[in-house]
Amino acid sequence: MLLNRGLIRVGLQWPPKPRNGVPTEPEFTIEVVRDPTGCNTDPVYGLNSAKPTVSVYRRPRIAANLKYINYEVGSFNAKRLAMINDRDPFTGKYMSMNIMSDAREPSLRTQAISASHDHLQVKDELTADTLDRIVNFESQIYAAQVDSHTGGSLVEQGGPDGLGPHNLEKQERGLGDNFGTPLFHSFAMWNPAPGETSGQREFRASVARGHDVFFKRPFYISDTTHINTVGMGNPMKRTCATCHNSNMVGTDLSAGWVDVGTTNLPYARVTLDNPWSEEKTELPLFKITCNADARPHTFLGRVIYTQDPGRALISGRCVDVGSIVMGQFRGLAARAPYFSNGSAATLRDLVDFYDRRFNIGYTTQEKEDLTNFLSVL
Amino acid sequence: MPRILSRRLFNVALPLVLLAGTVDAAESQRLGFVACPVFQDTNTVPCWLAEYQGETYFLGIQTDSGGWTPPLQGHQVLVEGIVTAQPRVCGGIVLASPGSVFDKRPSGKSAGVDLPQPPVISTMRELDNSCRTMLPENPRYNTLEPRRGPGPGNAQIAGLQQNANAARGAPADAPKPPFVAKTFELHYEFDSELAGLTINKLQEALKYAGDIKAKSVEVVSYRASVKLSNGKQLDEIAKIAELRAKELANVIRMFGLPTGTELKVRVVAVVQPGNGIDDWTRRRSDIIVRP
Ligand code: HEC
Repeated sequence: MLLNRGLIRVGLQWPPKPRNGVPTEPEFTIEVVRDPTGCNTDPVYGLNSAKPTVSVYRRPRIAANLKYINYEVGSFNAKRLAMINDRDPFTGKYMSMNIMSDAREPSLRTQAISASHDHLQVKDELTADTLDRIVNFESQIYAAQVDSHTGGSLVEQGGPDGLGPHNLEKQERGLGDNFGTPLFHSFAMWNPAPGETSGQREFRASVARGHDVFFKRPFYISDTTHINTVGMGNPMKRTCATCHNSNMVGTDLSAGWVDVGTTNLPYARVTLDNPWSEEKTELPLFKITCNADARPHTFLGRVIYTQDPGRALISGRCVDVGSIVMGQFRGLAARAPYFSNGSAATLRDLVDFYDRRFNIGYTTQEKEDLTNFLSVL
Repeated sequence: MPRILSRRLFNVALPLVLLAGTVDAAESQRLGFVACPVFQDTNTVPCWLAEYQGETYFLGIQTDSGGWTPPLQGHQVLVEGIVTAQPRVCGGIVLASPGSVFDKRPSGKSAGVDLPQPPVISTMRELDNSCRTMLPENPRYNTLEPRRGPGPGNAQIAGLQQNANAARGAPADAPKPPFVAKTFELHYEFDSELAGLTINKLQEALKYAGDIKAKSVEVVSYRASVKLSNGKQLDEIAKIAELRAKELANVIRMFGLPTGTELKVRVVAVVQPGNGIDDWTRRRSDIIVRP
């Protein structure tokens, strides 16, 4: 799983921990339908063990550009279910809830603590000084693509200021789903730039077109919980930048978990077992059944099959099943595969996923341009 | 219809409807029904329509989060609105708000006329995948000038969002004694326990409770019914008052009350009957803050 999809097991206790000091009552039951790794059915580590645990498999996220991901916000997040944002217990501040695939940790500090327990299994608690050093260290890292095989240097003087780590360090968070403040700024200076080879010229022109496809090309966004359901209607006619709206990183400025279909059936990628192929199913499959009183999942109803319930494993809510926090759009070319479950092997696969998922009808040219655009970020 | 004339018609017609003296007259202009929402695309943003008794009604256009809540395909929709004399939009008779708390700026214009506040819309709780009608763009309906188009917005200000709370403006002065009990009303869509559009009232209530070091904060949640235009009473699910109360109490606990403030919860499970006029006002929780 690590080699094929870059996935790491995350064991989460079930039912979930209390949030902000209030117990979480799950609105659904979980059954394990398929369990290729055996972790979910294991008598010691599984769902029916003495310490019931759900094992899901996720891509690690980049620990860089974090001022765009983890920040203080207001107390209420009216957009998401009239809910309250999580507080960092160390500062008492309400936080953006955009780190990790399921936003289970409110701050870099609490994340470091839980990772030391769960992933590292350290014996002693990290000291306050160690925690300060971890958080300070990760907070000063900026990462982005600096070079493209075809496009050449991405950090030239006078080049696009939406590219390169220095621009990430210099700029600030903001809403980029606006013509006045486009999140990845402008590629107009590549039109053409002095001294370009013809190969560079062609590639950079494609990137610039790809940016416009991403930013301006509308399609019908449909059946996504926490986007269609936040007052925009289903379907809505908007663009990639509607969901991916945060300046420089392309996450969602408000708490960014959305069920775009990467882990829930029928949209998730599945390998069908068959007698003629060596390729086998790798990911677990869970059957979620919502309690009678619960508000059902908005687009999948009361019975949902999923490879990863995502945010719902933390919130206990049916509507959150399959909602995954958007990851940042940086260094993409260097870190395939994509999506939290590694289900898109290449950037072109990722673009194809969206084309199928929303019936966009991209031309081959548009797909290529969009792929090239994503590859320089 | 010439632009000026139609605007005047609208301006005259709406107040007349609202002021109509007898219940009969008012009722004849009001509509309450449950139907599949119909998506009608245009050359800008889509329109939302619904059919009732062979007639097509226009509900509103796609806006942005924070505007009205357009319907969701995959669900039926409960519509509570007032018939206007405005020219048809996207082929539908234009419905307006019956005075809901959700009122906001107009979402745009059609043929130069401001669109009214949309009717009260509730997305029904359970899935109904028979509601999937999507109509393609039709040049006849390309009359919209939406406030927000089908792509990025037009705001020029960077850092516009900051955070939701800051955007609500400077905090009001803290209240001065003697303090009084205050009630804050939260409204809901039919069968929903999530006060998505009025949660700011809860925030106001908790701010007030903090300012006056309230003795108690009481949540009172109700279950309502709608009297539909076909005469039927449609009740909310039996548990809805309880779910509303539980949801609010949990949010209040997470927010935290001032030390010494007691949290009380009361559930009014008996159905508040509908009258077909202001039924949306009874899908409610009250938060009573007492000094
Ligand atoms: C309805 C909201 C929505 C829309 C529209 C949308 N995305 Fe996403 N996107 C998501 C979510 C949610 C994730 C995280 C899913 C996951 O990791 O499983 C994501 C993840 C991504 C990632 C990050 C992948 C990674 O592994 O870090 C990229 C790149 C991306 N989307 C590109 C696009 C492009 C290109 C478009 C337009 C064709 C688009 N998205 C449209 C919601 C959306």
